Amino acid sequence: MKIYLIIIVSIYSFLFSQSIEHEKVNHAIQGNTIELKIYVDAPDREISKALLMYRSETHQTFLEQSMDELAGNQFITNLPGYFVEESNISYFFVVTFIDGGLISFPFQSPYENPMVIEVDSPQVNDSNTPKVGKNPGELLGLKSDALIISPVPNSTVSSDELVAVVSFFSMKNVDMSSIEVFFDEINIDEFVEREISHFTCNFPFSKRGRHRFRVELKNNLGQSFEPISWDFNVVDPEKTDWFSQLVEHRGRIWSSHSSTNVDGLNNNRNDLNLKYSADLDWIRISMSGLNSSLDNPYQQTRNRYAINFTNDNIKILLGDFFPQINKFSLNGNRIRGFGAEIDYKYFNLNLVRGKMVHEIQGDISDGAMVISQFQAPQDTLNGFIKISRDNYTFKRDVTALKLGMGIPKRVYFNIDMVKVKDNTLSVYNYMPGASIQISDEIWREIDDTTANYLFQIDDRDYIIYEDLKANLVSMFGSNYDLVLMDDNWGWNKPKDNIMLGSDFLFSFDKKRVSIKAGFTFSLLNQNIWESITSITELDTMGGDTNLDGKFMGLYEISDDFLSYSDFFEFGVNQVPLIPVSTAEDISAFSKIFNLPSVVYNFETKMNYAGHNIKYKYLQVGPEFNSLVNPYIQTNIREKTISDRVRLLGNRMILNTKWIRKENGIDAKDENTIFTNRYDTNMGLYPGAGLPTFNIGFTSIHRMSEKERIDEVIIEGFDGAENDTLVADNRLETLSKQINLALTNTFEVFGQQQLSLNVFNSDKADLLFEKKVLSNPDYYSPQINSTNTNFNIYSKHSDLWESNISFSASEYETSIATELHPDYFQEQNVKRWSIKLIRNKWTYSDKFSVNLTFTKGNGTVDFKELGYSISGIHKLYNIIHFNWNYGFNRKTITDSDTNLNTTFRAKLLYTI
Amino acid sequence: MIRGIIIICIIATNFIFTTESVAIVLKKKGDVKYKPFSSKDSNSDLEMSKSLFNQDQILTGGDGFTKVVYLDDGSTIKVHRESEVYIQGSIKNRRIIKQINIAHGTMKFDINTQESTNFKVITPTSVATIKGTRFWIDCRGEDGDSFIGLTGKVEVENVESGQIVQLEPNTTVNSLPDGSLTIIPTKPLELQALELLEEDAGEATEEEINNSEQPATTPTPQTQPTSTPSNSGQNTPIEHELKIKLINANGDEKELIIKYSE
Repeated sequence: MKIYLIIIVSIYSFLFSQSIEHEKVNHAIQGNTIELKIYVDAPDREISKALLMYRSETHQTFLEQSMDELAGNQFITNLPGYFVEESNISYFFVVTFIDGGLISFPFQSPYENPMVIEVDSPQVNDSNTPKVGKNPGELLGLKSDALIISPVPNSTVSSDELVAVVSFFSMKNVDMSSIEVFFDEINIDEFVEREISHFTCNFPFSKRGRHRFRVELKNNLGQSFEPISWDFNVVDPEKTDWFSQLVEHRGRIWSSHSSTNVDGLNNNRNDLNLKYSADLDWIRISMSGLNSSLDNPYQQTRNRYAINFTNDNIKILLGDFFPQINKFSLNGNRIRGFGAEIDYKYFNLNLVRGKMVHEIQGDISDGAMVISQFQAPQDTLNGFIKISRDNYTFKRDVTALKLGMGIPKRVYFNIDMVKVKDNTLSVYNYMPGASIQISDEIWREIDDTTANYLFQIDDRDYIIYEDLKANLVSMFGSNYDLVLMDDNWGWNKPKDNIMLGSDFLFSFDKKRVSIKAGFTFSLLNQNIWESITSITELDTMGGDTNLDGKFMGLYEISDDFLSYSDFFEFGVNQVPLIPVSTAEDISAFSKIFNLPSVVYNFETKMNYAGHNIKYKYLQVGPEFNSLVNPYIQTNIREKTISDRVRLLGNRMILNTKWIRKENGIDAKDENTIFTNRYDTNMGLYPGAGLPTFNIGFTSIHRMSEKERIDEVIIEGFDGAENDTLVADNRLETLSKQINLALTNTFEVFGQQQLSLNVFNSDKADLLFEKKVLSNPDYYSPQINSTNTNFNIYSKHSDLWESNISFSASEYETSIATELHPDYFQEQNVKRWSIKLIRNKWTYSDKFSVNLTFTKGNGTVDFKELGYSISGIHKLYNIIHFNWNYGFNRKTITDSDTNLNTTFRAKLLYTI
Repeated sequence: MIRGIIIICIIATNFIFTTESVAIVLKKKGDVKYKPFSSKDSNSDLEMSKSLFNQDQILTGGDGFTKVVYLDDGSTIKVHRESEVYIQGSIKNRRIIKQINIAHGTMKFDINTQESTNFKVITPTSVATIKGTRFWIDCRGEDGDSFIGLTGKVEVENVESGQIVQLEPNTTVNSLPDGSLTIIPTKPLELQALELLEEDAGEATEEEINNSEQPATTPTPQTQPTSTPSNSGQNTPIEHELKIKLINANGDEKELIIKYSE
């Protein structure tokens, strides 16, 4: 049943409206790191992990990389520079949820339709022509009679008109398939169109400057001709319209629509997006906007807008932006307001002023105002009815500053401050026309319950606030007061949060060794309505009753202490109350490095003898809090040692990593969970045209600090029997994972790309025998799974492509016990899929049909048949129209048949 | 007579059944239509890098321009606006016997030296035979043609009268349907008007080409094309000469000559 639920939830979640937002990266420079960010639009679901799947175009297998979590369902990761090589990079994202569901971006068939980053080569000034490898016995100096038609050597061409044309018309024995074309020594074969006696190469990514084409070719006997190379200049295209002559500008407007029907539930979404940028030489302006049909005044906005002004040293950001001040306090979280980044060689300054959430007043018909307290009259005292606000959200203001200085990539030091505070004035104490629910207790006190200002909704009694105020006497008599509360409402309390941090970076030995260290300190007041307003309050806070001028009887309170309240409002709800341990048996050194609200991070990298060794230490205190970055995992200590080495001339890459993690580092924690994780991965890339292999082993050992059962014996009174409470918090599991990937490209009836992935994971519960003894209802976390994927993509011609895939998954969860044999669950799922793609068809650039059949056996028996049709249409390369329709029919044995449909469309206009 | 008809038939058959592309579109701007020899359908838009076959038709609109290059020797034809031409080429011994039939329009020819047979340009009024040269044609359809010489020589024949004249640089030959064939010096304004067409198409004017062909003391950016396509692996070195005059206090003058090639 559990598996059944998981499958249903998965499908439900997969098809529902949750989505990933990502600004696609189209281009990258060879050797440069690429930063990739996503925002997961699923506010009501807990995310398990986010993964970046990526591969080079020369590889068949997608590599997997976990993304780092930022606040507000954002994730970030970097594609390392060493991976950004000559060939383009395909990538997509997968997000899994705790409830078992998953979503991907692109939504539909991400393996088949990944996004592509086109890797641009750096310009080459070197005029040396590389030597061409000769086979033994080959003739040297074999000259060709090729005719360079375009671009003419040493000529100047516009980048939009650059096309290489070389004719072999007067030659009889050229093997056209052997032709390889290099642009600045980068192989650009994918742009080459080979004809009978000439080739053309339309390379669209040339930049302004001096460049070189080089052509290698062989005759029909396999003998190489001397390479042909020539230089030429590229200039930017001439601007045609009057505005383009003034500024270089480009923009896109796109509208997307999605409609899903899952089990009769409809979900529609319409988005309108705009992106525009203009270059005025002295400043670059970029604008973007998103208007979503899902925007709701009772939720945080889903609309986005931004205007940025950038020059070489200064960047001004208005609207929505994602500042990075400190990895732990404010790191890429969305802020709406003003930002400035001033960046000079030896100095940089970041300023942020805005709000991370806007105020929500609430719905007047849905509990925006409530009766928070009702007090009947007592003796001579009047009774009262306290009216409070509810279901609101305060505007949360953010102010941040980072100041850094140093010598780039050698020595760098920065300090930063992030201040987050709820604006208590942003929510009104009174909402005109708000309906207030009357409880049964109060209802009984009303003199005339038939009055026409009282009304019912769903058997609950309500009154409008203005009616209550006007009819208070007739309802309750003259001895009641109506109190409209200005603060201390029962809903979210206003908070104040300050974070101070610093980072230090140092590298030496020609940057082979780098050291990075930093800390971030936080203070959080969880309710500023109860802040300290006088020195006396602070002096007598908590259990300290002596008015001795000392906080907690330990620390002197200065007279001007309250002048810091603009900086941070201290109070009884403050975390931590005292930011340093007061225990006397701990050394000062230990106190400094175990502050409860501090994050300590240290990282060192060494690059010697082909090895890239990294050591990382991270400690997040149990009381560290960031309101901007609330999902950071606290109360942990993590040590990582990793090494990456390239062997056999970069044909083999070995990655090894060890991670030791402790969950529960607080001195009060008695059951710290220790995790030891070992990862080894080997990639073998023998060369172009040869199969690639990737094999990875992972071992994860998790163990609790407790090795025995906790028993609490409660002695019975008056001869009653003792009562024993048993708590078994022991944990020990060992997971072993193996991942094997094989890819190959070959030519049989067209170009074929074959990939095979096998993944096996065995998580063993090492304490099962012991735990089931103490608890017969114990549910074991043991789980075994095997997943096999086989995929073959075929390019039959320029017009026809196909993709056939098969996957088989086997799961076994938990262990059957005598009391619960149903705890053991087994499920097998097999999936067959075929996709046919037709390029350049009538009125469409791409048209594809996908058929999928899935069969499940085990705990749930089901069959699922689905198809989807999609098309891409381009009109004059200005207007793009993409659409996709999907239909899915699922039949679960002994259950209803589900029919689900999805339709998505996107219309894009490019300036 | 019969032998001539047979030869014409053989050549015509050869033209029709040639399936290897003979030329390629190197540049295209504005409205340019194309009709393949094998198609009966209406014209489609011409694309960059398009391979052209024998008898393919090109039609340029009011803002159209295209540059076509023959694949064997790089001879170039620039077809300007409001023109209609047929590209012809028969392959013999890995050489293309070239012919352009013009219905009407304005074109600039840059023909490399033809080794085996002459390059022919045929209009409703005239036939031009070219060995290797650069010249303009303004073909007014049934109203006659004007040939404007830039370099080299072109033999122009009036179809009606059979009269033949030589077109030389800086001269204009007017060939009319009544059979008259006249040679006059080229009017600068007429040439300027044609050069404006080249400028509008983003091509180098005659002045720019001449400047770029002269030895330069300092390298200057060149506009395409600065020279005709060259044979690879046998790049002809361009010789340069830099002269520096030095005068001492006594007024003695010496000249330092630096010769270099690239």
